Amino acid sequence: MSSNENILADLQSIFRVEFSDQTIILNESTTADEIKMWDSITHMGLMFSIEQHYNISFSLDEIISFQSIGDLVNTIKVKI
Amino acid sequence: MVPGTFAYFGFLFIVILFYYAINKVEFKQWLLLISSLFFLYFFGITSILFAVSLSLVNFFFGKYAIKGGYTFRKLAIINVINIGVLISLRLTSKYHFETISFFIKDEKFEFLISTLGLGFYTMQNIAYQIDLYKKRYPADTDLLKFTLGNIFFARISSGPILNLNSFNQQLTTLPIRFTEENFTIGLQRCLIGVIKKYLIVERLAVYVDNCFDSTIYTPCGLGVVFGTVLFTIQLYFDFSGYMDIAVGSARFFGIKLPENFNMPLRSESIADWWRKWHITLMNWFTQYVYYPLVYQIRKYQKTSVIVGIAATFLISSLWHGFGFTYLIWGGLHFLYLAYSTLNKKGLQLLKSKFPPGLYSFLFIPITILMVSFANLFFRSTNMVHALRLLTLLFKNKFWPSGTLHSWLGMNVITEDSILFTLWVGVFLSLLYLIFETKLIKALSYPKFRIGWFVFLIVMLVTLGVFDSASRFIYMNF
Repeated sequence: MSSNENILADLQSIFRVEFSDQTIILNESTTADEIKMWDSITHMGLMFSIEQHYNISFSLDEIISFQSIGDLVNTIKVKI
Repeated sequence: MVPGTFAYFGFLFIVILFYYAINKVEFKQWLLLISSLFFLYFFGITSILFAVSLSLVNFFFGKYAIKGGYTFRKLAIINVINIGVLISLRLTSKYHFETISFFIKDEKFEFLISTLGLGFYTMQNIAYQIDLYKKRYPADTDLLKFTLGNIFFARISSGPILNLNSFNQQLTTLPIRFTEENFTIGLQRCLIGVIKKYLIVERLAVYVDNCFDSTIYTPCGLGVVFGTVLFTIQLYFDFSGYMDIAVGSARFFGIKLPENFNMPLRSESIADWWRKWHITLMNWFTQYVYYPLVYQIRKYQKTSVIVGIAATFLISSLWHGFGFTYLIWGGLHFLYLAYSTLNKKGLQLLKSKFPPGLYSFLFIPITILMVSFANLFFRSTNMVHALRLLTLLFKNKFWPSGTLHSWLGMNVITEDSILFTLWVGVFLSLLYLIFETKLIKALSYPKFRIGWFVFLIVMLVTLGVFDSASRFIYMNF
């Protein structure tokens, strides 16, 4: 099982590619409000990239309910 | 009784007096329900019938549907009823206006067949049923609170769209005593809403109404651009002014309604615009249309996002009204968003080449122009009016010549006082927009300041245009 730090590092790489922004730095308290391009349009693409990276599947309610990177990390941790 | 009028505030004042004379939360809920029914009565008895019967149907359907499992079939049945009522009333309304509007000018008749706020509480009820089906919340067991969530007078005209579950939680903890914070914020928000309406919206209407509705006025191309941008600004002040009155009125009762705007006229892109404009409506579309659809087809990646945006704006167009003008409005926003989604990296690169201040300076006006172009169709009564404006925009002489009267196409009216009214409105709206951040902060200050209160009242009394105000633009939906 990966540690929170490893998942966080993976997510940071995925976010940087998705938003074409190498300056993004994530921590578990980061929310969508802090990353300007992270909105409902980009959210689905982001979730799909994460699913592909870990070969996992999120439910619709999980995708809608993520409030912070910490929520995302915890859900990924359970699924991998 | 339209929010923002003397009659409305008189009504609000009486309800507040009774509200704080009562000590039990349950009686306060009853008072708000009876007051809301009384408020609805002013828009015709059918408004009460539709609002209450739809609440009853949704409440009892939800209650009994969960017994034995809430199936997709049950969800389809209740939402066919909800959407069917909305569509049939909108069609009835359109049919009546096209055929007999020349003979019947009575405003009450208009309300009688359109019913107040139907589009807004239909969306709440659809969301409630979907949430039950998805087992996100338990079924509501309190008919009083459920009905109040649908018809609460402070927000029934034009929203905000509420999550019934979280609103009901607020109703169980209504404050017993009057607090300085609730009074101050309630009063400030109501006052700024009235100021937006009577100081700005009514003044801008002088040109906007002539530009869009008259066939006599012939502005040059720049005059049309001016008129459509002015309409975007007018719509913002009108709708956000209504929202201020809704949020402020609810706050007097200790109820916090969600905000619908976050300074949208400072958006740097169309995606940014839709994060800041009519937020509760877009949240609804995102949660109940866009996400479920894109989720199902997400393996197609960008195509799924484009399909999701198309579906969202198609439904949003139909929700606003049946007509080509709304379809073109939605189609333009779809094109804007689809283009930015497909060219995300290129746009990001472009942004990185500008200093942040310069990027905002250039792209805020560009975003307003793009929104305004779509609003040309949104505001036009029909396609004939929209095409007339497009002809003036592209085929007529674009740059002005002659006097200010002539380039605005106002040469028919030569009264300087009318132009003065307009320019004061433009000046006040720009002043508000420049200081918007500070104003929003000041309006949420919880302690009563007499100086600030007197300033708002003096502004309203000295600069308000009170003779022509009728109703808010979004009350049509």
